[in-house]
Amino acid sequence: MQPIIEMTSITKSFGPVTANADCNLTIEQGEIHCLLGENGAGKTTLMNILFGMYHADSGTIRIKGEVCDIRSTGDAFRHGLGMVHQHFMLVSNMTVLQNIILGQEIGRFKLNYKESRRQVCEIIDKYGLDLDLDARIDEISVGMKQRVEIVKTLYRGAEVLVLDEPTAVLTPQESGSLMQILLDMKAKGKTIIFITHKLNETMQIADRATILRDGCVTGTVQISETDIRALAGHMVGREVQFDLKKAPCKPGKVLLELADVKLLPQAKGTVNLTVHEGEILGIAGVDGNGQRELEEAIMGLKQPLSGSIKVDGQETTKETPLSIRHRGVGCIPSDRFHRAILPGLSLAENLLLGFQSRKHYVKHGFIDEKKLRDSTQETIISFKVKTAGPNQDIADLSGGNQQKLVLGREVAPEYRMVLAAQPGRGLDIGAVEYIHTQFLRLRSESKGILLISADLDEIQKMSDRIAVLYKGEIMDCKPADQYTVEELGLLMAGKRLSEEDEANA
Amino acid sequence: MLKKKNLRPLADSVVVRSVLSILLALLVASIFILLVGKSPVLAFSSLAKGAFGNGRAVANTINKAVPLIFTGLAAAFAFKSGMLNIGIEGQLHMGALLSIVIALNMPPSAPPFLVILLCILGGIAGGMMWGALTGILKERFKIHEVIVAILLNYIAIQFVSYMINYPLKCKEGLPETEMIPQQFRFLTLVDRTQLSSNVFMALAAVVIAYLLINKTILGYKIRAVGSNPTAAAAGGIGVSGIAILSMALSGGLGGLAGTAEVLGTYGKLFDGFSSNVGFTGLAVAVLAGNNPFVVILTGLLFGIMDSGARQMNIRAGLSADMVIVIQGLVIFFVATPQIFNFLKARRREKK
Repeated sequence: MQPIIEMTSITKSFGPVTANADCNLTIEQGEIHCLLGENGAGKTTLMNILFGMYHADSGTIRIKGEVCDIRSTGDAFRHGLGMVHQHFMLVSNMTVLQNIILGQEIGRFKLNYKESRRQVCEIIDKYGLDLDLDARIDEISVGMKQRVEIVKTLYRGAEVLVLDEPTAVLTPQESGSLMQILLDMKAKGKTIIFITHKLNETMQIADRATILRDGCVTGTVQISETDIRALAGHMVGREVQFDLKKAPCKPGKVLLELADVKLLPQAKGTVNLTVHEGEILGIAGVDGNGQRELEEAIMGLKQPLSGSIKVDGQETTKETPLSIRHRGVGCIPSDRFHRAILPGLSLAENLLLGFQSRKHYVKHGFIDEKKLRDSTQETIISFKVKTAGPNQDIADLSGGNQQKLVLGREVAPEYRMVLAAQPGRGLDIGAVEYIHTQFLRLRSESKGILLISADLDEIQKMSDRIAVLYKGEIMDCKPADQYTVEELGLLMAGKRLSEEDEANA
Repeated sequence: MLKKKNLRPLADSVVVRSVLSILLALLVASIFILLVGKSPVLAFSSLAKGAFGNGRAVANTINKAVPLIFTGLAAAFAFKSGMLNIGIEGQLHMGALLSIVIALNMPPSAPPFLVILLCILGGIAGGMMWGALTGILKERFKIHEVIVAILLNYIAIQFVSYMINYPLKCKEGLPETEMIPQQFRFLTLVDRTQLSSNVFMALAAVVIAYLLINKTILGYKIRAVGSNPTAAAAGGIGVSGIAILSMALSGGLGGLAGTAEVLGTYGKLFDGFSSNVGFTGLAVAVLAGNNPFVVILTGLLFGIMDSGARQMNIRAGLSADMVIVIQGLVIFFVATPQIFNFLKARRREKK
């Protein structure tokens, strides 16, 4: 049978950077095809070329055998392609129905809601999507919003759906039901391209997978004929260590203590937490449940609504970020670009951030450039930062390398504990692996680590204890091995196991 | 191929881009001059003659550059901290006013060195006060610095005007102050010109500004805030305080421009003495890419244009305002590097 999409020898560069080199991708009718690769491997660029957002330097695109010159997303629609972006493109104060028909309205002068509703309902019924058409976008959950996006593309007549990292924002349960929807759609003849960097997802859902590394296609495999290790090897280009060797946890005295901290105005409960020496406390939860507020409260950037925070037994709730840092709390912020990086300044100058008020790097009233450069060089070597040298502008580094430098800075010996928020976000497997071993090293040096992450795998792998954050409230907090994945997923969605039991009873 | 690669950083450098912009500006200005029926060659040659025709012309050109170097530094300093100081004109007026009040109220027997030092400090203080006020209003009351600065400009300029029309009016009844006694003024370096030792003060300011911005922790904090205020705050830098301080320091440099003019060039204060160098300073800084040393060059460039404008008027019959057109074109071409990128991209597309 003729493939539905065939991309041949696609090459695209941005200045000196080659995003895609000679990529071939063949999608068969009616399959779920994973586009697997680390961040920056060129998955999204390749799809953007398919959708006409970029124009390839060379190569051809065939859709159902015909060569197509796709110049805009409009062209892509006309060829039956639809994309669900990682960041939803929805109007939050409009209803679900209004969002779905936006730009494709029926009726010449007056909107014909009746007819639109009929058509949308048809789609919803066909794929068994549970969706309230009259709810406003800002009232519905993330999983629902994603469904709206899917229906939107179907409403526009998409035969091929591309989903860009769709599970990144979902709880495990929501991911599960998304997978089910996708399988249903496949059964009804749709073709699905699933962009991801998660290996087990690929194993779970795909028929075939095309793996990208550094802008090149390293292979297309039948999922039934491969395993997770082989996929990882294709993706990283070397053997990957999956199991970290963790020494038993030996918690020391309390470093950080949060008592009755209220993070969000709508939060029903408060946050009570302690981080000990030599321990990794993981905060699980879907993004937007108070993680950012927690981070800001601990670092002194924004006072919590109420409650008290103590570092080393000293009240720090109202202290400045500087004095909290001087008490020995480092921070890898979730929003790296806004909170950690000084673009336009050199690596060395970026390493100085947080230490500018210590005497360490000052000599005769001036910055001790030699000492700073030497420390930077050390960090570059020990944290394997790929760079031209300490004087390079940090904005020229890739996200992963920026993150490594930030990590190197925030785990400096001056800090006794580190608050790491989403440290693996946007990083490739290799870099994440490296950061995780660094956390274990810190733990063995009896430093404390507070790990805030939306990545449940990361939380389970790293944490000694796990607390689940939901709408600004800690749902539960106990040793990591006392949770099941199912229980964590329920807690992340705001449900306790017992409630579930009651509901079942 | 290798050669081409080596040329790249050079082509991207601020100096090359500035020179290209100047050439482009001259080209476009030539078209304008042709349109009004004059000769561009005659116009530019008279401009050059006016600026470099003889030793005295050169001296006056350099003197024209001095206040521009100060205001250029002031603007660059504020830019480094991520702010637009459009209030340099007002800061300059306050600096000039404080300097002249000090100079006119000293006993003639006072040691000149001490008086001049006091006047310099007064100039810095006047400018800093006005700059800090801008910063405080911005940070404490969240009023945009451009609005505050523009309004403070009016206050400063009108206040100076009031002072020279009333309290400080000279005996002859003209709307200007008395002359500062000769011993309290900067030394004239070239006879029958306005070039004075204030040029050394300008060079010293360049070096100090460079060291402060690039080599000290304070300068680091200023640049960090300018680069990314949220990251600076997360790193423990008091962003508000730094913003106010850098506005004050920028104002201090602006105030020195006033001191330089009062104690050097004119020896007195009168309406319109600054001829808008406070605003031109922004252009000087942009053209220099906010690099203090390059500010010397771009300050000189604008000085050349100012000082050659009269000859251009007399000999080529062009309005002296044509110089402002050229200045505008230079800024236009510098401030829009996108034009160059666009042309580059177009060329690549054609290939």
